[in-house]
Amino acid sequence: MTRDAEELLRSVLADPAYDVTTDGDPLAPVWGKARAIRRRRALTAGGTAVVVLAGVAIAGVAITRPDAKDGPAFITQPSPTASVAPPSEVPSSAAEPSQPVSSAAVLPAATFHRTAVHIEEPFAYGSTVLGLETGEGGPTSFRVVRLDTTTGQVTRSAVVAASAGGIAAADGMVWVTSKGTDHLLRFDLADLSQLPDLVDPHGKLSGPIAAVGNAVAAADSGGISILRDSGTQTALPAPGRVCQLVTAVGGLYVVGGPQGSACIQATFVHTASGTGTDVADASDASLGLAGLVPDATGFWVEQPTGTMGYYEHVAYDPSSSQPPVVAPDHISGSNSMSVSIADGHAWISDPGLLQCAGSDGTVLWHKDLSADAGPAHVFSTSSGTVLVTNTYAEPFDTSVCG
Amino acid sequence: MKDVDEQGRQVFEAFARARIGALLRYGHLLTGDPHAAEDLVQSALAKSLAAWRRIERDDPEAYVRRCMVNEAISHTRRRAWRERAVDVLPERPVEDATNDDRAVVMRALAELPPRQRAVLVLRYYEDRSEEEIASMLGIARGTVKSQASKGLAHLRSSLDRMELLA
Repeated sequence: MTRDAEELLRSVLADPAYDVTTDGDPLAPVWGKARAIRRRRALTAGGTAVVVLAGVAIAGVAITRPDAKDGPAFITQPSPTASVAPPSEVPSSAAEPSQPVSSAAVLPAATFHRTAVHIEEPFAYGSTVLGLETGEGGPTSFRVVRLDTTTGQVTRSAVVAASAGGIAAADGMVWVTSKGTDHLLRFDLADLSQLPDLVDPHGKLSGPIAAVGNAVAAADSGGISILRDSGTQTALPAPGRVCQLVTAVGGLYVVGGPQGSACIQATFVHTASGTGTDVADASDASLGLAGLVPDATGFWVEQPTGTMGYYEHVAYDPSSSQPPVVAPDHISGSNSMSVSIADGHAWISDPGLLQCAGSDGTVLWHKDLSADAGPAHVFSTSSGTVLVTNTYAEPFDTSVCG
Repeated sequence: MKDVDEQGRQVFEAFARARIGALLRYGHLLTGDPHAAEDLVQSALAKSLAAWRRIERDDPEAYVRRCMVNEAISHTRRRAWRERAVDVLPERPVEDATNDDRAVVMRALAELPPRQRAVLVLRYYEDRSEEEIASMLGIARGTVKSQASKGLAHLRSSLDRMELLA
């Protein structure tokens, strides 16, 4: 029988198996989510109004006659949007920033060309920013991307892997895991030319990878292996499922959980001794933990709550015996939030919004970004600090965070 | 942003209840996962409720569908190379799925970028015209044609590889 793709597609799409039945009222979560959207927009509108009012106030002072008794009306009678107060149920972390919003956070330099970039989950390394880019073929097509932070130019190199699982930089090389195989792809950091693959003797790679000194730690079917260019390997204990590996001083943060479950726990593993300390648990075991990013006093970790989520800071010193301490406040947003650390501050982004936060979980500053910018990251590199979004990169002045 | 009044909320709820079945199915075909579909539809409806005063007189369903595709695109960009928080469990054992037309087609469909997938679903499941798809997704008619053509070519090539087409 001859069949064509259109006929087959039509019949498969019509299959009743793709009807979705729900246990409860599928509309029930909609009301709460809509309230959260309204709160976030009110917060953003309030911040924008502060900028507008500040500008108007300056202009008002300049044009007010010295003998004016009451001052300009627009200062004494601000518009209702300017005084939008956060609703009482909003966590204090999401309250209006204590610092005034600056419209001059981004400082374009003459030599820096605002350029299109599409770097997924980028990270800073030396003078560059590296990451993976999903190509035209969708989630199975990847390229290694490098951003020159002095010019804003992007260079790319085709990745041969059918599916890239993670990326790290160590020992002068960019390492990319070929998910589901035992091959680690390697690229010369200088020109991104491909080097011979390294084969993990402990089994298939599941994806997560992190730099450990001049080696890389990679999750594989045997647990976690530390692999070196010289061929020397070390095995570390791991939970049944490793979801994220994160480089830290003295060891690695491992986000994982039992096989078949969500990534419910974060553990700090001392690479020298192989011992581990549990440092964070998921607030919702069915959703698990998402991105973990270390800073000078501990780490930030994302707790998803469905389509929404929040970042919380955990104070933790791996070299001491003190237990981890979760900050009193957290930063709420969608489940597309991300965090990067630069110049001692945490930069938390939600598509269309960039915030700076203190380690107590309070928002210190925020700024609207263009809606198509996607997740934004702030990186300090040896050649300057840059703001990297899904659509552009440009120099960034971190002093706005105070 | 002005809040929706009680009457607007009732109209929204009536619209949402009438269309949620179709939207969930659309979400399932977009994501390949019924749970992700639920999440996607709820987020899109929440955004639509927040914008209800602006969209109710035009075409609210088009707005919801556009939100769903945009959300699916940003979700794919963010999560593509990272582990997902929860495993997507196959609906049937792998050994059966390899011989199942439905599983093979859905796997091939899942490899497409979300917008291409959305165009194919609207075209071949809902039988929407190019104009309707363009309006629903907020893209030009020419883009609908090119996305459908690219998506179909990719699908055909995947199916050829899997020897499902004679």
